[in-house]
Amino acid sequence: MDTLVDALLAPFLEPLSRTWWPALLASGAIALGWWAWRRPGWTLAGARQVLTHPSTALDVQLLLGRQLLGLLPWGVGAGGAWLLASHGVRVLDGHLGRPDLQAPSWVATLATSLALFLAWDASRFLLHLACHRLPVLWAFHQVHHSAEVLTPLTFHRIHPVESLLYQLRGALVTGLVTALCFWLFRVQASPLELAGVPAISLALNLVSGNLRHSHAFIRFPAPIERWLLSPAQHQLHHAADPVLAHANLGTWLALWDRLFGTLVLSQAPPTRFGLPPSIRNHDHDLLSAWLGPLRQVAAPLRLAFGHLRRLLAPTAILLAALPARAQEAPAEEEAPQEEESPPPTEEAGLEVIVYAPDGNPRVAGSAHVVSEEVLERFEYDNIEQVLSQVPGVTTRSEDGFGLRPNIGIRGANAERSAKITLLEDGVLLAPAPYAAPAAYYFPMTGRMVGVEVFKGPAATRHGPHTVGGAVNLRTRPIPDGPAGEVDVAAGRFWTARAHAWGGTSGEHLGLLAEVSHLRSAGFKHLPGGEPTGFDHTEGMLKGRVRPGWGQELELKLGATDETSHEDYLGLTATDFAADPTQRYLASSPGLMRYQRSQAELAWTAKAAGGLQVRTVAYHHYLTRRWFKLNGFADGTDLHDLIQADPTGGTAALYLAILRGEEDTTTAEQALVMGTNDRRYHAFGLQSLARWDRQGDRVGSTLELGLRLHGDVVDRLHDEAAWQVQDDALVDPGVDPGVEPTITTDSTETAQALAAHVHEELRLGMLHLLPGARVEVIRGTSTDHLRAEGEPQVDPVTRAVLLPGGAVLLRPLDALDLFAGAHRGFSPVAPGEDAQVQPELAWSYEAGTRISRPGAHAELVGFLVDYINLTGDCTLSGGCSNDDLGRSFSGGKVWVWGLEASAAVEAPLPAGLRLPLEASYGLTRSRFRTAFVSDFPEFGDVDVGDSLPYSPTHQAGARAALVHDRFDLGLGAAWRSGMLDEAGTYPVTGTDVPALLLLDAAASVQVHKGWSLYATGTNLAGEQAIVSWRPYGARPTAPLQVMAGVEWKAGG
Amino acid sequence: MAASWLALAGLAGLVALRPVACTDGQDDVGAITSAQVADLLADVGPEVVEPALADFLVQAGALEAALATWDGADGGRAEAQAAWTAAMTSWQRLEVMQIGPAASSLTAVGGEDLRDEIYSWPTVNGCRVDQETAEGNWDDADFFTGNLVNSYGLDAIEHLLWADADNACPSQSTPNSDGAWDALGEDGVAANRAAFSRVLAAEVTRQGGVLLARWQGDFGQALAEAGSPFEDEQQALNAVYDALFYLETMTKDRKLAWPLGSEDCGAESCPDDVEGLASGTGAASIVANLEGFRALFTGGEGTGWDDLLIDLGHQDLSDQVLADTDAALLVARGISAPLDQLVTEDPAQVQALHDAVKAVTDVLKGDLATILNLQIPDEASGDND
Repeated sequence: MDTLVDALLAPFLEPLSRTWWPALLASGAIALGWWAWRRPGWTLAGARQVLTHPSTALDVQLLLGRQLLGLLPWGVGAGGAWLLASHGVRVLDGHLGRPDLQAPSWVATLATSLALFLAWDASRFLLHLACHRLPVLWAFHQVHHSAEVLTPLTFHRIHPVESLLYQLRGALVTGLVTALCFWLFRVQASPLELAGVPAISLALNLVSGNLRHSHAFIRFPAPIERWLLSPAQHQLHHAADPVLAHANLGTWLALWDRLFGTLVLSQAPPTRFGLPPSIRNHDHDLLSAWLGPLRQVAAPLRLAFGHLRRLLAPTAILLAALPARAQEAPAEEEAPQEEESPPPTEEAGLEVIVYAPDGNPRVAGSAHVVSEEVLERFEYDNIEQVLSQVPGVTTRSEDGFGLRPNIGIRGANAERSAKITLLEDGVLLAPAPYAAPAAYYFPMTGRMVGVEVFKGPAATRHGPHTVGGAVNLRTRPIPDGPAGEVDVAAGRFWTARAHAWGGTSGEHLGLLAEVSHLRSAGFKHLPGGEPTGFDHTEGMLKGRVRPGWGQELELKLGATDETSHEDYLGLTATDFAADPTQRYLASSPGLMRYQRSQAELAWTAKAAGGLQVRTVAYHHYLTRRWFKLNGFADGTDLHDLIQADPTGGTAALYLAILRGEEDTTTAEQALVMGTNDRRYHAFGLQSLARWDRQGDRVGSTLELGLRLHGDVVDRLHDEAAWQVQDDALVDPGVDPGVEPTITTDSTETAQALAAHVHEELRLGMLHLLPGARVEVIRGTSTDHLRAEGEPQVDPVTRAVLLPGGAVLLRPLDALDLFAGAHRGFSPVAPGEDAQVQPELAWSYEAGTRISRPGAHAELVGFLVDYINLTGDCTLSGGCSNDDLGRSFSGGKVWVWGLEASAAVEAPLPAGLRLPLEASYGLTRSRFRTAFVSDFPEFGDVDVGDSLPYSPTHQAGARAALVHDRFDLGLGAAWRSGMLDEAGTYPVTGTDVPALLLLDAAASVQVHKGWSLYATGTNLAGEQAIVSWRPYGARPTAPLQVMAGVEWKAGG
Repeated sequence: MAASWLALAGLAGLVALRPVACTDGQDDVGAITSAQVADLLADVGPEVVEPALADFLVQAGALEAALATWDGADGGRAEAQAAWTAAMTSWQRLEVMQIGPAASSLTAVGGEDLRDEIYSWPTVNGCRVDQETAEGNWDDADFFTGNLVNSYGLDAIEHLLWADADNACPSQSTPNSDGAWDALGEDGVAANRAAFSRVLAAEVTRQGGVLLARWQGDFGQALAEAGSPFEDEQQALNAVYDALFYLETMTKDRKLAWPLGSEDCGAESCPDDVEGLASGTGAASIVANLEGFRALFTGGEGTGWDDLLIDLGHQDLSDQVLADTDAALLVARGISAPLDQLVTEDPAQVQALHDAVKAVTDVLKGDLATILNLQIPDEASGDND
């Protein structure tokens, strides 16, 4: 009984159907709009006449009859098409081989969508033409044309025999085209679909389908009617006029009618519809409509049969009519993909970084500053701790010290901070931001005097990554007078820090020298007691000349050296629970060394009339060698193996090898270790000009930026197979002395020209901030391992325009309301095919800010509409060497959320201050397409899945009690659980649990210039899993207590 | 007009009362629309895997009996070796049927690594077996849970039955470094080997029984109904297809191409990496793999992939697979010398077997994969449909 009701309602409930109820509603709305515009003289009586017309009653009867017949086992459907397609593919494979097109999925989808649409439309036209030209088919097609009034239900007015012919046509065409598309594109061959229906057809059905059978004579302009048939043109096709009745035979495209000379443009609506009684072979009732055409077709046969029977009277002739029994029409299938239409875009503008007197940024967008006071109070050495208080910023911990920060902003993939723009004093900080965006370098947080985080629109002034945001570290400026500081501290795990700087400046010259050193024996331990810690030394020298006339020239030189015994290998959940700070034997040789040098020359000029120009020439050079475990010789996925925590089978044996408990006995089990030796150069010239003008009523700040940048990365990776024997690793390089094999030897370069223009127009309380950025990037990739004569990948040049804008309203001095939108982008690394898409997104933001002396609060809502989210393959993300640097598309993703922060400073008596800060961030994400990816963090993605390593909630609070003589601080940072791979919440045992970290700091001035201080981080001693990447569970750093002495002079 | 409405009502009544079987029974399995899929899934257990497991348990029982009369040295060795060979041959048919609990937990849906508990090649280690022989702890309650798969199973029994008086460990490892082996002496080693082998064989039988119980119980039902851990019929069908792929990744690539040196085994050819090196049963194992493949493909006496392909209109494909499989069986059965010997002396013969197996797996990877993955888009309704 249910099936009966379903079948009868299907024409209105099935998205595939022309009369799907949203299509009826849409057509109704359009018709209503047309009626309101054209006033065609319709009356209620006229409408009632149409609805109660006998022709309409037959429409309904034919609809019901067809649905009921459809429940009987006859008809051709997807079964026939599939058979044809599957054989078609096999024939093509067999005769022409399998083409290996490697086309991007959008090409496959577009080609398949177009091919199917054109084939369907053309085949419908041809069959319709046959129905009008061949008398035997016209007999059945008449049933549709005998309609004297047109309603959307007339669509269903069709004889079952004609319906069968159309189904056969559909199966044939769908089968053949699908075969061709599958042969070319294999599993990517599927058309763009909405609600399970091919999108092009659905869109056309929704907008104009039902109007074709109506009395709303909606015409298109003649040039358009030559390409796309209008509802009016189809109504002409239903005219009683015999000439018009055989015109406009197409369904959507007018192309075929043009080719066959049957196109008629619309002029005036027909006066009558239907067929004259002399031609019609049926009356206005179901039985007549079904049987009439059969009788007409059978008439000549009956005549012939009569003759035959008379001729062969003695012999009985039996005609067995076997109805064709083909497979049943398919049940409606749910499409695996769903897509929703994107929200409407808005044009708005960028914002300018302006600081209010209280030191907080007053910008038309979300920005956050961590001040020198806070950085000094907590003596942060780990950037992750600094950023934990900034809403919208997520960090994925790796080594526990912040040596390898993975920073993401607003859902941008945190992997190696590759999707945010990192700056030091406004100059790109990453070793090769264009050629190798996932290459990381992070200076010592401990010597920075400010950390600025710009989210959304603010990032477009810097680039190249403009989707999530930017982090700018401010180094110590040259002091105005003689000043200096020495700071020495020590803590658990033989951690020690020494920091010293000194400088002075006079009228024309200024100088600053700074050196800082941090070391630790590490809080993890290896089975053989090998070292797990690090040491890091940095130095900076600044010199400045002010010759006068508003000019300034400053030279900054820096050098860094780090050695760390880090590896990518983590732990299984069981081993983590037993001892989170252990490391497996296989990770013991891990050793990273890098050296960096930096030279920057900045020329600042201030002219009269509010014009400032700052030009910086910079050169950075970084060399890095990291020796570590890559994996097993047979390519067993380390992340999956460790996360599975196997206790049986071959998998448990592999785990035992990693621990050093089991010897390697076969070639597959060997541990592949290797060195990744890389050299990075980044150099460029950037210039920023700002022109401030302020009139009585209008003010303007125009900013122009230009940057010419080049970077190069040389990679030389090798590897060798190590064995485990008797609880120890055996180095093949020692005896018999096997040379490692080189696996990668390549050079990637990028040259980029970036320019931005940004205007802030201040009209009283309204500020308008339009802006745009353009980047032209040329990338080359050279694989030195390719044989002579083998071609290299062609250089690829890409250009992108990123417009944006914001609006700021300042109704009160302390209150800002702002909203903005901008197009953001993250470039593709060189070496990728020209067809690989960069990450692109439209970001929208709206918020409000209250800013007055002593209090500051901000609430921002944001939505990032990723047109294409990408994941870049890095070894630290668990990718293989072969996929290194490849970009993987995550398709359309929405990331949205809220960021709130508040800071208040309550003045207390006795010279005490009580600064309080709190922040909260909510981030939600949603993949909008389903796909399977080789990028480990995506994996098998379903629609509605959330992004990995992006916690839903993040909250932080800091409180301090400040006095001239002492300073006490308390901080707490909490985040909710994170998924290890794209999927749905809640988090499970193989994800990352929620984490609460508590910090405290206290310092006391014991004598003029001298203070003693102590800091504690992770006071509760949490030992939670903070990441499963690269290969296994990694812990937070345990409770750390540092105590130190500081001497300050001048300043 | 009234007659037409009456006719419609009559048709509605006819349709409402029609037997359900007339129109139901067409399953949608993602791409494949066939009633045979459900039958195939339901028959894999009772028609293919369970009979093979039952036969294996018989052979495993015979192995236990033969080992009971083996003295650990030459007394009764030949009989024990023959029983082991029969059990291994029976097991090799099941190697191609790693679906669900038998399959790898890392790569298969519902995988629980139970195959590794019975036979874990190529993860084998003769030295570990010898260490356990010397230690003599096989009667401990946690012996099997506390040790790794390379120290027990059919591969361990092979090592015991074909080893000579020496052990396979280097001098700096136990049981040489601590003198335990020498302390046992030849007689002690033999006695230990005999006792150890009996315990190992009993465990093999037990694990085989566990696997059979899973197939006869919860897993067999899950596969037949495409229930948990399978999300739908398509996933269950894919799991069976993946099991067939053993012929490609293991039989062809690891057992034939790798020793021949066509896969990167680290040298020009690696004859010592063949399966069954000590027992010389490499070729027999490949014959058994092909037999197991054929059984799973045909679904035994029930519905198999051949029936599915015929129902889908691709009988020629089914015939081709069966013909190629039979041809490969012919080549495999014609091999009389141990594989490692052939790789060195007559690699062309091994290559011929490799190519014969490749003919089967090429279809598996090619046309059969097409049939599993091809999907037909729905056409939106247009005028006159």
